[in-house]
Amino acid sequence: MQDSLRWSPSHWFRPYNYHLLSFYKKFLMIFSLPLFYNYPQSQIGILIALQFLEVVRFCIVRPFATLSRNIIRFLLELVLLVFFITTLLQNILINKISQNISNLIADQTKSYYVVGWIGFIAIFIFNISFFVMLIVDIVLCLRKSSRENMREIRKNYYYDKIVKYE
Amino acid sequence: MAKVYSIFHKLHEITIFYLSMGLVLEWVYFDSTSTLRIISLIVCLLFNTYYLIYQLYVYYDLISYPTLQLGTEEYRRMAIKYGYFLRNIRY
Repeated sequence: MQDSLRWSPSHWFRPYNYHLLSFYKKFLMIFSLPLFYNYPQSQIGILIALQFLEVVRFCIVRPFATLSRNIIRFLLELVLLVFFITTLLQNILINKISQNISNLIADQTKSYYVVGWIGFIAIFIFNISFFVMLIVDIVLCLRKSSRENMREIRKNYYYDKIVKYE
Repeated sequence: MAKVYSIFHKLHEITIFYLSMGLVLEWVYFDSTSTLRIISLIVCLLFNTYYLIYQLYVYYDLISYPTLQLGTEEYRRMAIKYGYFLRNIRY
């Protein structure tokens, strides 16, 4: 068997595996919810850690062929990270407000409200953007087949290599 | 055939999310005295196991993709089967 056909950890950072490994990220995220059900802050902490690793992976892999798609998807990954952070902040703030021991309760309530809105907007941007991207992808699929697209991407890759070599 | 595979992968993408969420809910609200809850949990577990195996199969099938040459039979098979994943992906 050729070396390149043997499995190695580097396959985790190859662009063509991007969607597949995203599945395992989602799978781990979904499983962490019931596993840490009794520890809400740990639960959100794990989601933040997984999403942070996903952002790092995205920066290493740069999976998409076009710069615009890479930027849009990267921003969406960051938006999801912001949503998880706001959820953690809300959890911390609600604990402080419910303890009612601080004289900063008015400020904390206001912060809770602001953070809640940021999270709400973040998750809406995330969901609506994916829906818009789905429609764009369907339209692009009708204009050009996947095979033509793949061939063009490969052609551009070799063209860039030749240009760099020269 | 490529369109059929694209629809197949899209269907997977949508159902994976809902059935995984279903498994979470079954896990949280599980009641061993309810037959309905037990059946529902088993169905969710079976589907999630299938998804795991399926994604693993695609992962190992795609390992040879960068070494394939344009125009070969194997490349054509990959383009038909996994064009949905690879159409916007950097080579």
